Amino acid sequence: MRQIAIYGKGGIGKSTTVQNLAAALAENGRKLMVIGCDPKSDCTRLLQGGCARKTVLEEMRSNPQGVKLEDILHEGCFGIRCVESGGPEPGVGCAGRGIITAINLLEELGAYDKSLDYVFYDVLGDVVCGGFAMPIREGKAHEIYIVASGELMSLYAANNIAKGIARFANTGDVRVGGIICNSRLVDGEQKLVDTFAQELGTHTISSIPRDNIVQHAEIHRQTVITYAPDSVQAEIYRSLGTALENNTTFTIPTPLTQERLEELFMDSIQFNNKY
Amino acid sequence: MKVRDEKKQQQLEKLLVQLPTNSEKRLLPIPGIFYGGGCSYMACRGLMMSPMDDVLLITHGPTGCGFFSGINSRTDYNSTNKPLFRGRCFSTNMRESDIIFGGEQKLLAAIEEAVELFHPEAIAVCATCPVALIGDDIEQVAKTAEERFGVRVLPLSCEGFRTGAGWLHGGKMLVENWMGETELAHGKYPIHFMSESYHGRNKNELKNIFERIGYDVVCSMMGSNSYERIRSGHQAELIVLDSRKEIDEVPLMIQKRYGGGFFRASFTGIANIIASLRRMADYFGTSDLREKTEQVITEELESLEKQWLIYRARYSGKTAAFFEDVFRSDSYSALSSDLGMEIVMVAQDYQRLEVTDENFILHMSLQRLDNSLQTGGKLPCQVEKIQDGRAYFRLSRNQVRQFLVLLKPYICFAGIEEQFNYADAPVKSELFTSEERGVQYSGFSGILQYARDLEMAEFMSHWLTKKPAAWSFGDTEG
Amino acid sequence: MKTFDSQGDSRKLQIDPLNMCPPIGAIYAALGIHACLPHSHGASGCCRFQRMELSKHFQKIIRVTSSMLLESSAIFGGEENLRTAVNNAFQVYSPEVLAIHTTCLSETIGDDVGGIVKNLDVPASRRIVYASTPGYAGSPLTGYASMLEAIIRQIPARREKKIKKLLLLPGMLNPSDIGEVARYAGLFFDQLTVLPDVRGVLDWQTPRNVREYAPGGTPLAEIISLGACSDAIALGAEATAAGASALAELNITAAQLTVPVGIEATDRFIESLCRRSARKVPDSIKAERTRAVDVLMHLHPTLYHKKAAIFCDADLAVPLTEFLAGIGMLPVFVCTGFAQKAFMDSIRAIFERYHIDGIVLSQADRYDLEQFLRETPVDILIGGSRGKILSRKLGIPLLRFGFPVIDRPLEYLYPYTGYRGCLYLLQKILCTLQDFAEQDTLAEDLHIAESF
Repeated sequence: MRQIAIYGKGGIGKSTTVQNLAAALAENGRKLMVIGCDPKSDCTRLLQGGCARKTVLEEMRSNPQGVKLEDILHEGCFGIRCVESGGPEPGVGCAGRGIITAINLLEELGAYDKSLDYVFYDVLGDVVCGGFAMPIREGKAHEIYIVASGELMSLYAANNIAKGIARFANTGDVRVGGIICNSRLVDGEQKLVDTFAQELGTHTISSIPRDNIVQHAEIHRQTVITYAPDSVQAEIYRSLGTALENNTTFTIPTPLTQERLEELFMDSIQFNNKY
Repeated sequence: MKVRDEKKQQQLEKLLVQLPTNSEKRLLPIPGIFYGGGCSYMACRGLMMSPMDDVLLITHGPTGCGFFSGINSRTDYNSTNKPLFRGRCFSTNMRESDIIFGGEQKLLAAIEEAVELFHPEAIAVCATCPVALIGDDIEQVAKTAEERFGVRVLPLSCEGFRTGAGWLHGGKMLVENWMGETELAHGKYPIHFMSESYHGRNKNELKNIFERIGYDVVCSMMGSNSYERIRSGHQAELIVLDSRKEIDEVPLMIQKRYGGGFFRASFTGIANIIASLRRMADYFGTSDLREKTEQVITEELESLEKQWLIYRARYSGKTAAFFEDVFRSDSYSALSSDLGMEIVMVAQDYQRLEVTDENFILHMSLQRLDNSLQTGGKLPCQVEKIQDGRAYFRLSRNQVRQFLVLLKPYICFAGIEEQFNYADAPVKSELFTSEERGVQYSGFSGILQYARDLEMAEFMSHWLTKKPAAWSFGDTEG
Repeated sequence: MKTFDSQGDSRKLQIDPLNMCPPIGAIYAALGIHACLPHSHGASGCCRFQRMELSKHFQKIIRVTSSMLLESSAIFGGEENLRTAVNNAFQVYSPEVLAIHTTCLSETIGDDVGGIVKNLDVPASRRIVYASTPGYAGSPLTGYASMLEAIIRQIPARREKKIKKLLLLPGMLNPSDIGEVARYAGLFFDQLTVLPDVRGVLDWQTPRNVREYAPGGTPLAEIISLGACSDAIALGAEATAAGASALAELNITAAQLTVPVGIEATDRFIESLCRRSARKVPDSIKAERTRAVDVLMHLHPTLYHKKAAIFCDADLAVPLTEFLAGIGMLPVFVCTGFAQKAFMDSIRAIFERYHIDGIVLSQADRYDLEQFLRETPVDILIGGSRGKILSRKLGIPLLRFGFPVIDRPLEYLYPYTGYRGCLYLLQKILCTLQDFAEQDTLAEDLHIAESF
């Protein structure tokens, strides 16, 4: 069982990527579980064809001692098991603690079935507090993929995430598997992300071009794989799946300094202006 | 009225010595080192809030904090009409889901239930660690509750990890929110006696003295107190602080707002009490008050005299050493000195940051120092300063031990925290002078209680060290 | 009446809590290891509260270090403080094992104690154990269980050669009770490990020198070679189940039994020992049982249909209820501050077996108990010291039982477990009832020995 956590700046397209990736893998006969670690609980919306019914924390709140696995584990397309951790309303409580509790509970209930090939953690935004690092603590996800684009803020966030990972990598065996470039149509994006990945000590595992079909699929609450199985974009997600499956480069990231990061960005802009 | 025997009083007063007190702060907590102190919550709830009989305290936090602090409340022996919730302990019992989803709604509901069940006039909400972390806005909840349920609610952010002392926060909040709201009838000389030991036996003792002189204790923060007394606490013309805590900020704040006087005093040890009472009389400056003060001092000394002199005869000239925290050693050395004992050494730990280099402040009389040196002793370290006939040293724990070997005191007082292990003193005291045992030494008769406890310690040491088991001889032979 | 038979959680305001928080259980378990220093990863006050409670129960100094987390730690995490604390603790107190437990504060910050500990320099031949015990999740038994599980998962070496040896997980009992169950176990097994074993620690004077430790506790070497044990018995459910299941890693299967309070529970314990050791029950035990049953027969009339309300921790409440029901008393109200679901089922099963129309409540507080007692008075209350206010208020005598008993000294010296414990428990119940009955009788009207 490979446990994989996906991090990245908020709004970068993590959830979309994870769900399409998951669908591509599941279509190919893999058994997997997607755990959404986001209080908004919309990480598995496309897989389930709508928002989650019962989240782990909601269930725990209403029925503290009698949470049953079948109440929180929902089956999505291609038999993908979907779990949403859920969490508090914006501005109250502690979402980080929620993630810790939810993952502990899943473990207790035996959600980590041995027959699973993959477990994906879709974690919101930055690693802002201890709770958001829960999926990469010992015994959980060993591989991490960071979703990024060519925008400075996105790379900045990715670098920050790498700092967090480096911290845990030194004590445990969590490693970065690569960067997934989710294109924002920024000039020189591919090259910039590639250089960034290289300096981080990893590589760009795949680049996903921007395509309107993704939006169409989302409106229909579907992944591209199910909505337009024959489209080019679906094929791209499939190839991401293959790349991930065959990936053997796992490294401890070496985060960039702030100056170096800005320098990279400046270089990229100048490079583009020149040509 | 009895005629005052001035000469006799002067004779008695001559027996008394005023000892210096240390102004250093108490030990700071160091991670990984045993620490006797509590936390902000403990201090705020236990020390500042719980003595107020008629304020319903709700601990906003997990069940443990509420459970443990439930025994922390004081009892006021004199008050009648106990409120319905006296002796109870309230908590919002935060669970995991409250931590995740926030506890504001639960707190509001809890306040509503408290009002329905017990109809308190005022409620105080004490926050525990998780509250600040999850960002519960208890001030807003308190405001809403005040509007909705018509009850006063005081929100106290005394989370356990707060660096500021809990009693200070509690005291400030009381002054800011409740003080000055109402006026009550009071005596001619209204005072605010701020002391955590103003309850139980101590209270009866001191109240008696104050009333006989003519003072009216209108408020007593940390001591026996109530909601109404806090609200009218500004009416006190003088604040007398007898406390071990660094709480001066609160009386200064009251003074700034409402005027009046403020000073620190001590009501432990005869010399201290007499000095404090005279200072209080001087503040008001009326002759009848001065007269009454002297009269009460005479009366008290007279009623003590017989027993006191017996104890004094027994302990006079005996040497005592203190190896204690700042607060206790000052009280105990004052009391011992009143019994005629010679205080050869006071070693007090004080605020320090390093672990390995333990710092103590030690002071002793110059005369004693000279005597020891003349008989061939060697000083473990250099004198730091000489002041008022006493020599001061700054030294480590181990050096304190060397001083003890040098001075050979008859009795050595050491606290549990100091874990003192000085085997050579004929009398060792470790536990008997413990406030946690409920022993209180304030007031004139405190000296007798102290002497009795001293006697007990002496007997114990005799028992333990001088009487081996009957079979121990056979043991060694075999 | 029916309203009580639920989870008791409809009230948001907790009035007079019944249970403490998990960290105190973790400290209790940690103290059962020889030369172990419990460490509280939290603010300074937590362990102060818990030390005070333990100190008052056992009348001795309890030493626990703390990370002393402050406001800065709440924001930046407690790692720095934990590092300093561990360093200082080893340097100044030199424990063989440092047992770290978390608190509300560190759990909410989300400190990864496991990760931090991995990176620490631990002096040679010393060990660190860490357990997660957030104060808002569970009871002291939960904390005890987490610490026990942590000890079993983190210390023992793998692949030990098996020998005929019993591992006894006694649960959160007084030292005297552990002595009693260990005595029984020793009659069946020549080799025995009790984990954790608070004998010689909590009933022993705390050494004056901070670098010295009481002689008791399970030695570290014995925990390392835990895998050599052939059999295991875990007493109680909430305190030991997690530890017992962790034993699977060491190829030990544990029998899970209730704490042997009362004849039946002791019978089951002896039976299990007997089967696992393949030895006969010694005559001395038979004699003990005969005496206990004999006395019971004799005293039965005075106890018959006396009603009792029980409020203590779940692991003790179950066998106590069974015992009282078995001797003809009516334990009509059983409540605890926090318990797992199985607790309710076990108590209900006992009610059913003895046809008792009783009520069981978990997540309860003493106010629930009070409300119940106002409707249905009972003859005796059985529980901790804090019940004394209720006892006075309602005029029902209180028998102090379980942990903590902080207002009557030396209670921890007298065992309630085993057949001899039955007799002691019986005597206490009878004396409590009798003292109370005679309390208001005029001197002239007192019978010297009416009931017996």
